[in-house]
Amino acid sequence: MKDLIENYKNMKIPDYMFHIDYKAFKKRIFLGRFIVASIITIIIINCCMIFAQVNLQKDISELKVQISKIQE
Amino acid sequence: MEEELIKRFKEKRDLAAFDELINLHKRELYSIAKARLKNDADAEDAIQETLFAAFKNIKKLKDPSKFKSWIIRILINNCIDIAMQNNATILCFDDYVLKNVVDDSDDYSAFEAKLTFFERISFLKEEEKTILIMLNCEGREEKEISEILDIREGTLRMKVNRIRKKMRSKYGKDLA
Repeated sequence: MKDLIENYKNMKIPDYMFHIDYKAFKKRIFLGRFIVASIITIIIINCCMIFAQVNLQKDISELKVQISKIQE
Repeated sequence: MEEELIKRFKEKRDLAAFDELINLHKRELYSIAKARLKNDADAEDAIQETLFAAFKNIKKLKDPSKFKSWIIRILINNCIDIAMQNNATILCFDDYVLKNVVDDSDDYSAFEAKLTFFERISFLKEEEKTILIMLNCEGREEKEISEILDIREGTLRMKVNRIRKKMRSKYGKDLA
């Protein structure tokens, strides 16, 4: 086992594997956050549109009732 | 030392501190990635993904003393993902050597002495290699290893015994 552990300790580590490109990391984080923010914005806009549509339909139906009353 | 570096990186976003932090654990990270994936390119991918995850999520790490266990856990998960993506099958080096390199005239023991660390432990399973690296080469405690690998201590001891048996049968009593 000693032999094996010595082999392990003398092992060469390829430095290129541990090279950190911080610019790329920051870009990736920004892109990830941008995508999440975009999705959340789209969901919120959709919810608002649905809410507005429902309100509009209510108003229309009320107006229809009023028009029919006036016609009568 | 390690906790100070983490503090420096968290508070001042000191990139040199992060570099130093990674340098401290290079050997273990590299050896675990190599033990779990069959080629250097996959190991590099796993390591880069791990470094990115560590860089991104280090703020969430509550206990800085557990940084090493935390980053190894991330690495192991990344290795599992990459292995599943590639549908990687680990080629046993012994089989490779016997089929391709060593012919009858070669002295196997002399050849074996020239093998690298990973070639010498290639007959073990990925998890067994990880345990061997953490327990024997890095001198970690069984409790810590069982936490990282998410297995019970009893199961770990059983696996350690199995590894010892395999090593004994492969390299003789002095190596077990």
